[in-house]
Amino acid sequence: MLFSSRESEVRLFIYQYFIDTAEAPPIRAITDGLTITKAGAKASLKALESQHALVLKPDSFDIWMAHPFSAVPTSYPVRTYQLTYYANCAWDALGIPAILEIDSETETTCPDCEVPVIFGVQDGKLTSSEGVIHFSVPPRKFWDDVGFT
Amino acid sequence: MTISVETCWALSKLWYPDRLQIDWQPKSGKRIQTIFDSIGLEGEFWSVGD
Repeated sequence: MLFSSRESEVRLFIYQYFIDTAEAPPIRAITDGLTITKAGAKASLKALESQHALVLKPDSFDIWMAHPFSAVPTSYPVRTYQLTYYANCAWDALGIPAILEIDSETETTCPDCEVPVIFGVQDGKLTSSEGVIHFSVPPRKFWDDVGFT
Repeated sequence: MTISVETCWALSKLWYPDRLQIDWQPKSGKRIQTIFDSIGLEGEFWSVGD
């Protein structure tokens, strides 16, 4: 097992926090929520980042991404009946309804031609199958520069 | 590389739901390749190597 039980608990806490609030938990929320020390939380965050389970903002312990969720606004808002989440990319804009098993709608613009694009999921099916999604980086290089990816 | 929205949705459904399991671990290269192959994402671009 790559992750310890504590690291797994921290990871799942982060996901649940994203689901409940559409935001990343500050480290204080993690320490309070799991009754662990700040040092313990930081160690878990670093361990999770080292295995690509999440991404921290540079030189900090602030969570940037827990795929498919983004802690910062992006061009891929994912509207649901409850909250609007931000996805890291077009793929992740479908990853959020996949992980939550929920209806969604994302309104963005084509990065190539700047035409408005709306796509989403209803009752487990795409609301439109038009269009394509572009991958700039092959999967084996996703983590070379995950912000660009 | 472009893929259809339908293929991306299929990929999402295979890729993400297990993240909410407490015992989730990063996917192995072999597992990733199996997922790609299962939805027709083949060729050099989709090869994750060893």
